[in-house]
Order: sequence, then structure tokens, then C-alpha cells
Amino acid sequence: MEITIFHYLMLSGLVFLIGVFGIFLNRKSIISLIMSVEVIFLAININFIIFASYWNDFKGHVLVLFILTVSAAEIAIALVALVIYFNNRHTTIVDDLSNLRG
Amino acid sequence: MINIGSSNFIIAIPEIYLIIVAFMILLVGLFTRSADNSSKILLFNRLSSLNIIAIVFGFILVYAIGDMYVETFHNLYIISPIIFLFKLVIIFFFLIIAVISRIYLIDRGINQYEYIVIMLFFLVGNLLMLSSNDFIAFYVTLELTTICTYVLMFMAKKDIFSIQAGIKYFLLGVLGTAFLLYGISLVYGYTGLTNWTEIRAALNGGAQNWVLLMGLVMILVGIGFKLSLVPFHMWTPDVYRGVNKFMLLMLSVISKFSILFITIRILWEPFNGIISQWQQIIILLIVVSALIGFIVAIYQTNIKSFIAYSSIANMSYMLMAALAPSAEAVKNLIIFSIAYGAALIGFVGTLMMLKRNNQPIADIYDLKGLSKNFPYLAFMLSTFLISMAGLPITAGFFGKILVLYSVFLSKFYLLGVLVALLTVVMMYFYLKVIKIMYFDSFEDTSISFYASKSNFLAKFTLGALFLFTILFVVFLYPMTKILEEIVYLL
Repeated sequence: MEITIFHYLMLSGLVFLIGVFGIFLNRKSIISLIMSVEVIFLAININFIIFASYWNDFKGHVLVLFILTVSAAEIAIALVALVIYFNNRHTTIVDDLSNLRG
Repeated sequence: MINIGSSNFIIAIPEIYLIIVAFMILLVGLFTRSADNSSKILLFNRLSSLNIIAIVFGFILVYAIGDMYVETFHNLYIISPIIFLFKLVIIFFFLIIAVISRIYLIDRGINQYEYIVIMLFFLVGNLLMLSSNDFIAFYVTLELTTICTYVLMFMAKKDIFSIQAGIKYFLLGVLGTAFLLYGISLVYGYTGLTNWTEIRAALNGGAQNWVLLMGLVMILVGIGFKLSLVPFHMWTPDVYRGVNKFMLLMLSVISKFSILFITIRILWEPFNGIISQWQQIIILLIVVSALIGFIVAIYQTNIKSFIAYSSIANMSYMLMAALAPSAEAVKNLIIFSIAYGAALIGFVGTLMMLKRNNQPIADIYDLKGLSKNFPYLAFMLSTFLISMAGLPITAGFFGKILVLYSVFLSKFYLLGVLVALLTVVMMYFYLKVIKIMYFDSFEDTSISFYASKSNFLAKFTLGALFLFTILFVVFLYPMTKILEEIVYLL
């Protein structure tokens, strides 16, 4: 079976969905939320690299580098928040996060 | 003109200037000895004065660059008449917020000079985002602004509610960015382009491809998260309830306005060719946001969650101006955003100066008996509320009527009528707050006023906002004339 661009898109879509479900199903632990966020960004990176190689264009690769850098910075800030939260509450479980009232 | 490698640096001078100022403030703070708390407060006070002066100069520079049309930095950065207006609005409101919240921040125990540096980077991010002409530049500058807001929320280390709100905002913000990026990747996959001018040319004849439409929907979902439009609004009341009033203003005025302006540019510039496709989605979002925002706001008693729903509802107004690309719509949107922003900043800024039993005001019933103790303040608050509600002779009325006028011009009659009727529903809440201030339990005198004498500038600014809101009729005609001269669409 030949692997076409469609299969790659299916892969990135699946990884993206796994990440989104990770955020929505698991609202308690900040660390697994951060892991889900990383999974989502990986799915997006896969997408950009596929399209960049499909178009034979460098912009997709450039954008992947930017996304990697920015998401690293974001995760660093999330870990800072985790440290502050832990110092205040002595736990990494966010119990109030699940009651996102409308 | 300074030209390095065919890049025109002159038109990016405001941003470059503000970045330099931010680093200088960082250096000054770093090399100033400040061991104890009082010297930290002194340093914070001086640096925030410097910050205000720097933003004034930034405003002058943005104005001096003017309303020309130039693309530079390999078409990543653009300046046009519309962007010029958007930038002026953003930097002007930022200046007002910086002025009125200087004493408030010290009072809430925030005295790190880094706070000012991050504030300036937030402003620079917003200005750069409004000028971006490429999905790469847009993504990076959007992340600059959101990362700055996360840091500003996490900096209140003692305030556990602010930390929790920050974590919530972080997760939902990252989710929004993820949807946005996935959409960008699909648009990139369909066109092979990231530059907005090129995408606009490529999509000019219209397109029906499912990859492109999926990308468009994903981008709108991401923007929906950022703007807290209704199916994606669940984070807004919780986050707004957690943060302090300064961050409340930053989120509900600066961040929302700049993302709305850039949304308009995304819809009108790269996706100009597929206007009939995105119009349906935007109309759906407007109707649902107006329904939920205007009706749920009635049941709120917490001022911050009320402001959250009010901003959801007013975002539907601002999106209505985005429905059809025209110079008229931009003009009306600018007038609406000035009127709404002035009323919101005035309302929250006046509340910043008030305390009840030495606690910040959180609930609308905390305002009981205000008219007895502070009649002028009560009158100011009522004026701002009436302006947010959109009753005549205040600024909000003209803003709302002009946006509705441009909606009727582009022939969305049913939508305009529906949103106008829902606005009437929401007036109940505003009038209820006024009733609490004027008619509830006059003998209560525990409300206390803590604005200090050194805070003259903040009082002056609030007074100016009040006069602007109530005497808007005077400013309306010259403002319209000036805007008509500036705005034109390409």
C-alpha cells in the first residue's frame, strides 16, 4: 500500500484529537494537561511538515521551528505556574478547574 | 529612510522604541538597589511613571508614522490606514489603563518592576500583531501577547485565585492557539502560502475545497476561544473572577480589541475571496453570543462575571461590523470600540478607587448606599453603566446605533433587529445596579474611599472619560469627519 498525503493527515488529525480529549477528559492534574498540550503541538508540527514537503516550500519548516520554540516557552511558564500553585496548595491537583461554570 | 536589505525600519519605529524602553526599564530595575519593601514600592512608582511617559511617546510615534500604506520586512509587516486607526485605539486605551491603575497595583501588593516590563512587551505584542501580514508573524506576535498575559497573572504570587485563573486561561488559551494553528496549517496545505497578500490573490476567485473550509472553521474556532464567543466562552467568567481589576481591563479591553481587530483583518484580507463561506459562520457565532451573553448576564451578581458576559455580548456587536468589508463598517467599529472601551475602563477604574470595609468591591450589592456617601462617584458609575447599556445621549448609544446602521446597510436586517432587541433585555441589569446605588439602604456608611492625593492623574483621567462619555454628541461629528478622511479600503 502506498502511503499518500491523506494518510499523514489522518495521523496528525488522530494525534490532535488525542491531545484535545486529553485536555477535556482529564481536568485534574496539571502535568497531564501540559502533556496533552505538547501532543497537540506535535500534531500541528506533523501537519506543517507534510504540507511543506508536499509544496516543496521552506515556510512550513520555518513555522515548525517557531512553534517548537514558542511552545517550549509556554510550557516553561506553565511549569512556573505549577511551582507557585504547589507552594500555595501543596498539591498539583486542580480540583476547582473542573467546575467551569457557564 | 534607513534601508537594510530592502527593509524599511522607519515604519516600525514605535515598536522598536517601546522594546528599547522595556529593556531600559528592566536594566534600571536590575541595577537599582531595592532591598526592603518601601524602596521597591518607590522604584515601582517611578518606573511606572516612566512607563506612562514612554507610552505617550509611543502614541505620538504611531501617530507620526501616519496612515500610509507600506509593506516591509519581506511583507511580514504592514501599515495601512485601518491598521493605523486600530493601533491608535489600542495604545490609547493602554495608556489610560496604565494611568488609572498605578496606585491600584501598589495597593494590591504588586511592586515588582518586572510587571512594568511585561506590560510594555504586552503592548508591543499587540501593536506588532495588528501590523502582521503573514500567518507566521501573526502566530508569533499573538503568542507574545498571550505569554505576557500569563506572566502578568502568575506574578501575583500570593493571590491563589489569580494563579488558578491563570492556569485556566493558560489551558484554554493554548487550546485556542492549537485550533488556530491547525487551521493555519490546513490553509497552508491548500494554498502553499502564508502571506496574506498572496493568499488573498490565490483565493480571489472563491474556492470550495474541504481542506480550505476546514482550515477556515478551525481558525474561527481558535479565534472564538480567544474572543470568548459563545460555544467557547466557558472559561471567561471564571478567569475574570479570579484576576485583579487591572488584568480584568487588560483582558477585556486591550486583548479582546486587538484580537477582534486582527480577526477583521484576517477575514477581510486573506479570506476576502470566500466571504460567503465565513459570513455564515460569523452570523451563527454572533447570534449565539448575543443570546447567551445578553440573557445570562442578567443573573450575575458578581461584577467581574457580569463584565465577562457583558464583553461576550458586546463582542457580538463588534463582530457585526466585521460582516461586510466596507470603510463605513470600519469607521463605525472604531467609534463603537472607543465608546465601549471608555465606558468599561471608566466603570472598572472608578471601582478601583472604592473599597468597602477595606475590601475591594466584588459584588453589586457592595455598592449599596454609594449615592449617599459619594454622590459624584455614583453619578459617574451610573453614566458609565448607561453608556454600556446603550441608552441615548451617552457614547454607547451612538456606538451601538452606528454599528446597527452599518449592519442594516449590508442588508442583515433580521440579525440587526435580533441583537438590538437582546440589548434591551440586558438593560435590566444595568438599571438594577443603578437602583442599588441610589435606592438601597441609605444608612449604610461602611463604604470607604481610598484614592490618595498623589493619584491626581488617575482622577483627572476618569473625569475626562466621564465627560467624554456624557458629552459624546459634541465629539461625534468631528470624529466622524476625521475617520472618513482616514479610512479607505484597498
